[in-house]
Amino acid sequence: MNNPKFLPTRSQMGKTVKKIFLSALMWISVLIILFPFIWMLSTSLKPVSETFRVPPVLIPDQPTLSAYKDIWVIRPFGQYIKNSFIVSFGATFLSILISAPAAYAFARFRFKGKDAGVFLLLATQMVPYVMVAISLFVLFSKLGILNTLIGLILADTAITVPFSVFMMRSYFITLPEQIEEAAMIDGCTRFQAFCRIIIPLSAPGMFASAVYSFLLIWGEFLFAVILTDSDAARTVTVGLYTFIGQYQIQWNYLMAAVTVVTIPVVFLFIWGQKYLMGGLTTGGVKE
Amino acid sequence: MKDSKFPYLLIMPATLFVAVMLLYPIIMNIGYSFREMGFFSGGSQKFIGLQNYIDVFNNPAFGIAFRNTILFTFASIFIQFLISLPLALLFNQNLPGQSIARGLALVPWMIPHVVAALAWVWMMDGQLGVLNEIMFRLGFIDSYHYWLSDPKFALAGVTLINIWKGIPFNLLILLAGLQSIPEELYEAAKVDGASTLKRLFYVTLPLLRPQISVLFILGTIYTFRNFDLIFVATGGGPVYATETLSTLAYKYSFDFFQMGQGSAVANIMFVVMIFLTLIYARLLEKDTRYE
Repeated sequence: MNNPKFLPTRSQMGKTVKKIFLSALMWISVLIILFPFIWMLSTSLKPVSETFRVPPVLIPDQPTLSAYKDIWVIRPFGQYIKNSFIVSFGATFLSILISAPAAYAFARFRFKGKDAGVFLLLATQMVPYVMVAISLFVLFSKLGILNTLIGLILADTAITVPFSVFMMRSYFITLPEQIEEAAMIDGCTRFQAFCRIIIPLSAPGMFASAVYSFLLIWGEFLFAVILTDSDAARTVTVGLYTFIGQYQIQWNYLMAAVTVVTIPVVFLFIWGQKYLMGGLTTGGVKE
Repeated sequence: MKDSKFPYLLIMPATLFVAVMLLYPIIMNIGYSFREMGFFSGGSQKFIGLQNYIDVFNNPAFGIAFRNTILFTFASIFIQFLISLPLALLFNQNLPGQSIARGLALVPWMIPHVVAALAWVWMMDGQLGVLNEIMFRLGFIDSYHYWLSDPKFALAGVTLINIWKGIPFNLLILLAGLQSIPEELYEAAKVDGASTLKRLFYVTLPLLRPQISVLFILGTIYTFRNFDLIFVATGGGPVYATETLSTLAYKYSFDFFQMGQGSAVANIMFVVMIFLTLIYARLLEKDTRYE
């Protein structure tokens, strides 16, 4: 068959059609997965009367930002957000601070008790947190740190330490040992080599760990609901939960609040995405 | 690199922290389950042996919660996987914008369980929910249902939310696995005359075994102890329809102030999870021996 070079062959056309079809399929599935968020946003922009409309419609007739204004007034939502930020930053910082040295030790050294340590960290990952929460409740009430942000920071740090250690350990392993050796030949102690050279070099790994920890703590609910009792120490996850507890649910308010809580997550995720992907696949699967 | 004291110094803060904040509470919890823990700070804390466990087992709520937890966990894991595998295969086709699509698909996983629960509670509302409208228009149902407040559907409802939330992680891990399979293996299979389906079963799936194992083990552990999602979506109701071991442990401890019984339930959960993990480990061991 004659086929001038500037016309597509039959198989090339078949391939393009296939690609278009598959692309459409891919984006449709993304849309389906994201639909709850689209619906969340749509509801948050509706005046309350439209939330009662049956059948429900996607685009509000009279979109309004009134829900976003009111949620700060009807509940101490600003306080909840502030608390969540304090706890998330605090626990993330503390977690990295104590996990990084431990991860380095597991990555670089052989020492007695190392296997026991690894096993311990793995085992604590398996624990149902409700078990820990009950005891912490008793402990914190004896120590007087029940219903405080500091108590919550301590509890939340504990949940993130095990996987932070593993994630950062995997990252440290990828750094060649010659780096520390070179530094020590130049006169550094091992500790100085760790602080001045390894830590800056591991910024991506630590960042991935930090992002993941932050997201986990931001969304943490179990410890927050058990260990706090009043608005002063309440975080946003429990705050959302109490929205539905007491009053008749006003859906546009609830969805607006939920959207506000989701925004930092999306933002952090977009910003930290490339580190997050790398951190997860090195830290988790390809051992 | 052998250096006698330095590594111990490095691991000390983390070990101390985990010991105090995780190990100690676990041990204390085991102790509480054998004591009468009526009113925490002032109460008797009298040692009563296995009485808490006996009370827990005699209560029909335990059997229901146990069954619900098993159903919830394994239905979630299997269905998540069945949906994510084709998605991963689709996303692996080097289509334009693939990394953006993958990033977007990851969002349900990153958000708090509370957010997911509330968004879906709204969508599943019996009178105003959009899920009802969509299913009605597609012809799946004749009239609106109360998905989360009807004991018949509630467990399926929360399982659906959990599946939705779990798909991104499955997708991510499977995709990473797929991308590490060298193209030559598919070429070789094609040369041998293998159809697409045969290539899937004889090349792709066996090579994805590490990823699938990770997903099943982690999935079981994380889903089995799930608290946030069910607690916020249904609180374990209606009438224990979605009660799981975590929500039961919480209820006993903090709603009924029976911490001894709550601790007992939590301990039972822990034992079951260890048991399940050991089974997985044994199954994995058998696999790798033949590789």
